[in-house]
Amino acid sequence: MNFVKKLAITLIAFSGGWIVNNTAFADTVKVSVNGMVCGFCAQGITKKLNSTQAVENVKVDLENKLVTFNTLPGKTFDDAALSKLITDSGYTIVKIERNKK
Amino acid sequence: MSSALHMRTVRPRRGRFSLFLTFGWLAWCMGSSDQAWAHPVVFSQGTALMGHHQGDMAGLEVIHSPLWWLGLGFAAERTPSSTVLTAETNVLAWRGNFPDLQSNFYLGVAGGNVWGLTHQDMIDSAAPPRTKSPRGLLQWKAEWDAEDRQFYARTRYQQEFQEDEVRRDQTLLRVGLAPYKAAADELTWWGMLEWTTDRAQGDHGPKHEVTPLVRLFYKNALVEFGMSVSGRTTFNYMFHYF
Repeated sequence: MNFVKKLAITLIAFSGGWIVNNTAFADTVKVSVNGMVCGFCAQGITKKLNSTQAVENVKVDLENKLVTFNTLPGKTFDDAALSKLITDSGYTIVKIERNKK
Repeated sequence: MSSALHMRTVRPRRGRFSLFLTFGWLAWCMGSSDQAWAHPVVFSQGTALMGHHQGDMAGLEVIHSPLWWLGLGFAAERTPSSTVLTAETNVLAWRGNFPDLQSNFYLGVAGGNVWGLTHQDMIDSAAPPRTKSPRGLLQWKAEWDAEDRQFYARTRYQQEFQEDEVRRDQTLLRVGLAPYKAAADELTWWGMLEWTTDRAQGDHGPKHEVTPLVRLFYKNALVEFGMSVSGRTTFNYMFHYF
């Protein structure tokens, strides 16, 4: 019986650690972008980001020139890839901020 | 399970394609291109469907951008006396991305055929039409625009050469003002004023047209309509697909 309890506790501990480890990769990313002035700009950037299948909750704030999104757990989307995507969309990155969840 | 998932992923594409074809067909039926009346280059991997209707002239244009600075497309234009079909290449030669402003400089060329009456036929309407066989056509243009969320300015110079025909050119200037700064997912409307001058060899002088327009803009769709001071109606639309 003790063995079963220990096994259960070990499994829960490991699975909990696995979940924590995976969500640890989910970042909230704020990107300052120059050149966004209209709905077409917002649509273009949103579609390009969503096409990576590595992000969710993409929001474009034209007033503050900010693009914010969350990276999906277990997916990596580093600054180099992000810079290339925004540049390939025709815009200029000013700053990237990442906050771990 | 897999087929159900498959259906889910395929149906919206078919729907979008059908919508695309329907709009294209409707635009053609309404009349049927002057080169891109706006945005001759879309976003990377983006496609734009544009239509313009001015008086008895109607045009339809599809542009795809394999790269963010390149637009490739086809255009068709129909008037009561002629039909024009062209293939076009547009290059975003320069883009300025500023905190509150975007500015672009485009260069474009188009080549194709024109069917119907010549310009000389139109001038000398008493004479029998010289030709109705297709004639080659070449266009080039240079265009600059700048916009922030409330102000818009655009100017374009375009020249057209037709085989065994006259040279034509058009200069366009457009300015616009939005009454408020709309968020990305809000409906925006603009008041615009467009001035065009058309010149053709053999004409006595340039033809000027001033057109006030209202532009409505929501997400990936844009429509505008207006009437020139001489009474010519204008209706333009543009949809972006990705």
